[in-house]
Amino acid sequence: MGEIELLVGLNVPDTTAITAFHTLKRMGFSSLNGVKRREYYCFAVDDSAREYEEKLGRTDILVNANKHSFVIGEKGRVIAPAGGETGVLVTEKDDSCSGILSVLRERLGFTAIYSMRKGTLWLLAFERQDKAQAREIAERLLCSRHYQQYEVV
Amino acid sequence: MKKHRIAVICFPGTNCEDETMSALAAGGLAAELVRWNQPERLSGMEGAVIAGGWSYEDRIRAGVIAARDPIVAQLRSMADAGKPVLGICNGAQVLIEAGIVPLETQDAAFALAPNRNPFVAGYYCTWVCLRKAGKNGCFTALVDEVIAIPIAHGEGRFVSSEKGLAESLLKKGQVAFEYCDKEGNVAHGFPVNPNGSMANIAALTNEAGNAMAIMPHPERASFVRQLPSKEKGNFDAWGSAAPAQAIFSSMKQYLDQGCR
Repeated sequence: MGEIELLVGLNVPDTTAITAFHTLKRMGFSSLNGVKRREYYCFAVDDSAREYEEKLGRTDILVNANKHSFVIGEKGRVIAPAGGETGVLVTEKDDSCSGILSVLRERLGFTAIYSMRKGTLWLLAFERQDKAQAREIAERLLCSRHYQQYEVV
Repeated sequence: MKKHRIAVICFPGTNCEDETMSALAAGGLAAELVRWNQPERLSGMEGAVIAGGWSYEDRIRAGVIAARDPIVAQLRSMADAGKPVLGICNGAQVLIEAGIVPLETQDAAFALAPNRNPFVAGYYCTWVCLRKAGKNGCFTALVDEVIAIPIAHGEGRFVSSEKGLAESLLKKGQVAFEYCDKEGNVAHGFPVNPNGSMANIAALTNEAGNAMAIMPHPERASFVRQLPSKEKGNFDAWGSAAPAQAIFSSMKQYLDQGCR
């Protein structure tokens, strides 16, 4: 039993990240130098799922090879903010992802996945890592406390 | 008699401005289109409606980017001054994200979260029924007890992490409309509640009742021609008012009475 994480990013300009960046600048976060965004998936799998690491990245429903790139691996080895970047992972509090999960399990044969979570990983670029500002940004823009939660990574 | 001037606010992605202007005009109001980057045009306006659609492609969360636009600060001032401010669908998401509704704070007391519906994930559109739940006010005074109205949204589930807030707003009359069945019974769960909203909330107001965030689309149910086929009846009647137009005529009555 273990967990596999998948991060999916756009190869084309990410308008959502660009809009978030300009909005945050307007909100007064002047030391912010850039924003990147990755779709985040975490799959709880049993031991027979080693081969999924490669296969999951090739499912067209999570990754479109024409516009996405992805990183996949054991939990804890995938989210690796670059120097100066601070990660904010936003997930929904009670989202069981039942729609995607049933497609993966029942139609695509990933039967060793028994639960999953999804969210958005925001990578905030400062001069140097700044967890306090990242928390403030999460609370003021990136995360709605009413149905989402965040962690600074 | 001079008509009251109402701004119909358009953000990048708004797509219901024409229907909204028609419904306002039919309600006896003078609607003027104001784009998000023309905040100076709000001076002299007696009210505002943020029309439905999208804003900034609903990046991050629906309405959250628009809620940080300078024009929204002016809408807050208009609401504080007692002028009617209505947000429909994406407009409701903007008012909620800005905190103008329901508690008039900078921090949003509610959110409009992705729909929870046992059959359809994401965007959902259908006709629903609403029951007037709040006090007779700026947007509801002339509205029938139960009206049929369409919804069309992916993020329309009113939720709050503040325990007891929904019940407290219901008691204070700030829940303007609840989802109900055709007879007006507020049955919880799908399909009466189409998106999983807390306490069946379909529309909330601020404390004074002059700012309302409504997820269903009254501008799409303001004329008989917009109603489902079996209710349209004779062609000659298609241009006449349908029940949801009363939301706009209530707004006019409120202005006629000097915003009281």
